[in-house]
Amino acid sequence: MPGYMVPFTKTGADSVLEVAELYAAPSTGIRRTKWYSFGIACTAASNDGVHQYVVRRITNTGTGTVTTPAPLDVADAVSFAISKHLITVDAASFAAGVELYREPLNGRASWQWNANPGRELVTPATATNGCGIGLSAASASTYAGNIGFEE
Amino acid sequence: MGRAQGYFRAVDPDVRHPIEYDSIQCGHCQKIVFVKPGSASTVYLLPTETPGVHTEAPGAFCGKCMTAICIPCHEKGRCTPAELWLEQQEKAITRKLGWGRFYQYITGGR
Repeated sequence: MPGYMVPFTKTGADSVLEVAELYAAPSTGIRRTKWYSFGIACTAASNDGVHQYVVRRITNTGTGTVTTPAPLDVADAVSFAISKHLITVDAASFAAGVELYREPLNGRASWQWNANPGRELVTPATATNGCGIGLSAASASTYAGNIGFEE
Repeated sequence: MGRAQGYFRAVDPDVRHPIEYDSIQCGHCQKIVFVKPGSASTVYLLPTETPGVHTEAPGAFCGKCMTAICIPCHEKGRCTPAELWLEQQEKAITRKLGWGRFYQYITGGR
């Protein structure tokens, strides 16, 4: 099962909930994605304050810049999934999406979550279904992080 | 239960040591839940509004699918294993497309 890594960033230009998303492509081949790792940090200087990080399921997509997931083994095929970062408009389903993860942290903290093998977050092989990572309240701050997944 | 199913690690410049938690995954909705160290995943740590502060809650277990589940799923009182939910989502697409087109859909014509 090929593994991929998606780095993402958010600039301070937009006040949005969602920082990045990964979903099944609507018209090409389609697979379940299994998130085995994700992490994010606020990259603004001296950003003390509570940041409630969340991972939620999405059933449609937001507006942002498409990135190509990088295969961990260069011999693997290109991922079927699509990822977006630099989100300018949240996915409509993100705000009320099923929440899979929530942890409030100080803005100066960086963190990472890793799944044991077989315990990844699995998204259905259904077009435009996936997960998004972001914050529980819209933020105009800057963030960076990464998502590791298999499909 | 018992074994952790995930691992969380945070580094906060204001805290001298890394913040670490083991986590389990709800067998129904796949939600990630932190667990109290040494409790064999029977005590959950629920997030509060204050960073690094959690409230303890008794863990929950589904006797039908024999997996640890989160508190909201426990309160629903019915068993919908994660795999069943995923298949339900995917079958909704299969019904719309028919098997032939669904095969092309999942393989991308490969």
